[in-house]
Amino acid sequence: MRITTIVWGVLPCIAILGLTPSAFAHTSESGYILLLPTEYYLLGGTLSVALSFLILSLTAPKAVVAGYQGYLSLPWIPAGVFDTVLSAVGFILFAGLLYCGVEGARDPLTNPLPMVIWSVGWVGVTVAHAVFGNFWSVLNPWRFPVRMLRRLAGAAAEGNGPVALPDWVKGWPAILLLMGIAWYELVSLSPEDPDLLAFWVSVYWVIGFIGCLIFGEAVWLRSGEPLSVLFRYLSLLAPFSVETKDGGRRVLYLSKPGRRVLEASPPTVPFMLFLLLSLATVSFDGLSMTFWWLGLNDINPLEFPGRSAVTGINTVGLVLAWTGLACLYCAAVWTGERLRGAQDVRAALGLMVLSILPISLAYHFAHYLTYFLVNGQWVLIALNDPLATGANLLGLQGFRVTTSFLNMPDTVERLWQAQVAAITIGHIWAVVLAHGLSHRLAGGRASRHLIGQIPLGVLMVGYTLFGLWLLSSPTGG
Amino acid sequence: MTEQKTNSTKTKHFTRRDTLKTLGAAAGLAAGSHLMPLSGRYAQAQSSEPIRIGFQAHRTGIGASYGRWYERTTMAAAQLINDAGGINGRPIEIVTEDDGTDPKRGAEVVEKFAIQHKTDIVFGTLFSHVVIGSAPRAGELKIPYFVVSEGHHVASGKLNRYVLQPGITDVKSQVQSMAPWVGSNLGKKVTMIYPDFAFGHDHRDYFSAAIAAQGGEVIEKIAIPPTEQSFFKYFPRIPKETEVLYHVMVGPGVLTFVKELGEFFGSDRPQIFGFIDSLEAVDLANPGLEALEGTYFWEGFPRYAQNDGANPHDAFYREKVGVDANGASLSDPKDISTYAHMFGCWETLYIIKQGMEAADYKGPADRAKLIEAVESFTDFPEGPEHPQGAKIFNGQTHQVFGIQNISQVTDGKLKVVHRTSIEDSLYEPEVDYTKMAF
Repeated sequence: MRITTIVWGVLPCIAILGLTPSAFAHTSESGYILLLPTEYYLLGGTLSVALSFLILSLTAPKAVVAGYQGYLSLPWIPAGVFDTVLSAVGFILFAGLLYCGVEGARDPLTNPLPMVIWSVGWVGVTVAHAVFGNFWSVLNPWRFPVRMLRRLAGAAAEGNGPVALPDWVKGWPAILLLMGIAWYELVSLSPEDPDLLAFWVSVYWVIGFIGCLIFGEAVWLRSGEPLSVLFRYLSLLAPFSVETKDGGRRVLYLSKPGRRVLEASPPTVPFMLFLLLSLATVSFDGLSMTFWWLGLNDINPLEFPGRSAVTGINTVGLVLAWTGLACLYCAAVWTGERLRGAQDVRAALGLMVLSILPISLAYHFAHYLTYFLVNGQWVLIALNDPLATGANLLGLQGFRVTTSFLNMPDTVERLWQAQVAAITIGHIWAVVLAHGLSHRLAGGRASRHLIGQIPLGVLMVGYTLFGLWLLSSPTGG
Repeated sequence: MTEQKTNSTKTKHFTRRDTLKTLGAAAGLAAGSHLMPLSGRYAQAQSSEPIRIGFQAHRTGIGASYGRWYERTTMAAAQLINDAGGINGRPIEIVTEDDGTDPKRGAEVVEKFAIQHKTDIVFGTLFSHVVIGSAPRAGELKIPYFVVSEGHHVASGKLNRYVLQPGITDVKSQVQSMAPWVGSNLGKKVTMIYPDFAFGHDHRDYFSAAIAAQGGEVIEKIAIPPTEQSFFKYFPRIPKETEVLYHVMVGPGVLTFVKELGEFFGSDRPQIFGFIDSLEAVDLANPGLEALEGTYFWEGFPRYAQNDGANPHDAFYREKVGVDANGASLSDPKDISTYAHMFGCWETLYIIKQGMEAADYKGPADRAKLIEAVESFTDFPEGPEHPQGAKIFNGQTHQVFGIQNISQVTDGKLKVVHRTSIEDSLYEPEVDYTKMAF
C-alpha cells in the first residue's frame, strides 16, 4: 500500500476516533455542555491532532503533495455578460439591504440588514467560500458600479486606477478595516442596530468604492478590502476553482480541498498578519465570553453588566489576541527555520501561514454554529417581510423562531460533537497542509524538514486544545 | 457575535398604515371580543394617529432568551388591544428597539424613543441593571417608563416619578410571601444556598427576615462564588437538622448543581425549595433533572396549565401568546417559554391602556396626567387583562402586589400546591413618588 494511501485513509479515522465518546469508554446550552465529559473530548481531539502530526512526520512531505495531485476539469462557465449580470445582482442586493436597514423594522432581529450582514454574510458567506470558491470576486458590491462608472468615463471596465498603491502599503488597509469590522462586531455597543449598521456599512462601501476608483478594482480588492482578501484566501481551501484560459475561456476545476493552498504564492508580511488577525478575532470572541476572561477582569459572569462595561478591556483584549497569536506563530516558524538551518525566515513566515487557513475555517464554523442556527431563522422572518409592511414574501407568516435545541441535552451534545469535529479536523487539515508546504520551503529537499516542523506542530496541537477548551468553558455575557 | 446568542419571535414593526390595516382585518374579531367592546370607537380609530409605545427589548445580550418571550407576549397583547379598538379609539403601535441588555445602550434607546421615534411612553424592560441605567434618562426626558423587571429598585425609591412597575411583582414581595407556607408546611429550620452577589443577597436578606417573622430560622447561609462549577464541597456545610434547603442558583452551573445535589442526598433529603428563575425556559422533564422530583418552586404564573378551575383566564392567555398546556411554544413543544415572568408585559400594556383612558390621554403633553392616573389605581381584578390574578397597586411606591404560586415537581411537571394571598406579599412603603415633582 502506498504511503499516500495510508495518509489519506488514516487521518479521517483518527479524527473520528477523537470525536466518539465511546472510544474512551467512558441551563442552557452552556449548562448542558458542562454536564458532558468534555475533558475526554479535549483529550481525544488534541491527541488526534498530535497523532496526525506524528504519522505525517514519518511521511515524506512530497507524499502529501503527491496526494493532492490530480483534478477534474469541468465544463467551461461563461464569462462576460454572465459576470456583469451577477455583479449587478450583487450590487442591487446590497443596495436593497441598505434600504431595508433604513426603512425596515427598528428591531434588529426582523430587519434584513443586520440579519443578512452578520448571519448570512459574516458567518455563512465566509464558510461558503471554503466550499464553493471565490464567488465574492463577482458578487461584491463594488465591481458593478465601478466598472459602469469607468465605462461612462470612457475607460476600460477593468484596469489600474490613476494612483499606484505602493507595495509596502498593500495589505495594511485590509488589516485596519478588518480590525474595524471585528471591533464593531465584538466590542461596540450595538452592532446589530439597523440605523447604525446602515451608516457604517455605507461608510465601508464608500471607502471600497473610492479605493477601487483610485487604485483600481483589482488592486484594491486584493490589497485593501478585507472581505475580498479573506475570502480569496479561504477559497484556496475550496474544491472548486475557476481559471481563465487564453482567449478568455474559463474552466472550472474540481480538486482535493486545499490543493491550491500548496500552489499559492506566499503572502507578504502584512497579509500574514492579516490572516492571523482573522483567526485571532474569532478566537477572542470565544474567549471574551468565558468565565475565565470575565473573572480576570472582575466581571461577575452571572450578572454580566453589558458591553458598555467591557468596551475597554475587550478592545485591549482583541489587540492582545492578535499580537499574541502573531508572536506565537512567528516564534514557532522562526524556531523551526533555525532548527532546519534555513537562512530566510521571512519566506517561511509568509508561506506557512497558509496552513492556518483550515484552522480559521474550523474556528469560524464551530464558534458561529449555534448563532447561525438561531439567527438563520430570523433571517427568514426578516426576508419574509423586509420592510415591516406586513408582507409575506416567503409564505412564512406566523413562523416562530425556536431555540429549543439549545435547551435539550441530546441536541446540545450533537452540536457540541459537530463543533469538536470541526476544530479537530480543521487542525489535522492544517497539519497536513503545513507538511506539504514545508516541501516547498525545503525546495523539494527532505533534509531536516521534520525537525523544522516541530514548533509549528506544537503550536497547532496547543491551539486545538485551546479551541476545544473555549467551546467547553462556561460562558456569561 | 456574543449574542448567540439571540432568539425571539416575529416582531411586527407596526407602521401607521399597517396598524390601520390590521385594525380593518380585525374588525370582525373586535366585534366578538369580550375584552374591550369598543367597536363603536373603531371608526374614529381610522382617522387617528396611533399611540406609539416604545418597547425597550432585550433582543440581544444576556437577556435575549427572556426578551424573545417578552416580545411575543407584548405583541399578542398589542394585537388584542388593537382588535378591540385600541386606546381611546386610537390604535397602538409597538416600536421595538434592542437595548442589548446593556444599561448605557438602554439609556440611548430611551432617548431614541423620546426624541427620534417620539413614542408616547417607554415600556417592557426586564433586567434590573438596564432599568437602573435607563430610568434617569426617562426622568430627564419626562417620558413615562413602565418596566416589567421584578426588581425592588422601583419600590425602594431608587428611581424617579416617571418609572412605574404596575404589571409584575417585585422580588422582595415574592420572597417574603413564600415564608408563611414554607414555615408551616416544609419546616422552620432553613439552610440557604445562593450565589454570592446582589441577586443572592436579596434572597438571603428578604427570606431570613420573613421566616423569622414566622418563628423560623435560617440556620446556615452558604454563599457560592459566581464562577463556581462544582458544588459537592459546599454540601457538607448543610447542617443535619436542616428541614428546608432554599436554593436560588442561576447561570450555566445550575444543571450541575441539581445533579450533584441529587447525588449528594440520594433519597434521604430535606425538603427543597427554589425559585423557578433557576430553570426558567428549561424543560423539567429533561434527563439530569430527576433530582428535582418532589421539590418545590416559586412561580409567578404557573408554567403548566393546572386544570383545577382556579384560573379561568389562563387558557385564553396561553392561546393568544401561542403557548401550550406545558408552557411550550405551540410551534415547538420543546421550546419552553419564560412563563413565570412574561405575563407582566401583557398586564402592563393593559394598565397603560387603562391609565390612558382614565387620563383621557391625547399625546405627550398628557404624560404627567397618565402617571397620575396610574398612581390613583388601587387594584386590578383578575380577568383577561390580568390573567395571572388580581393585584393591589400602591401608587406611592409605583409597585404592584399580587398572589404568588408554590408548585411541586410531580412527574416532571410543576403542580401548584399553594397560592399565597396578596397580603402575604405586602410590606411597608419605602418611598412616596407622588410627592416628587414632575
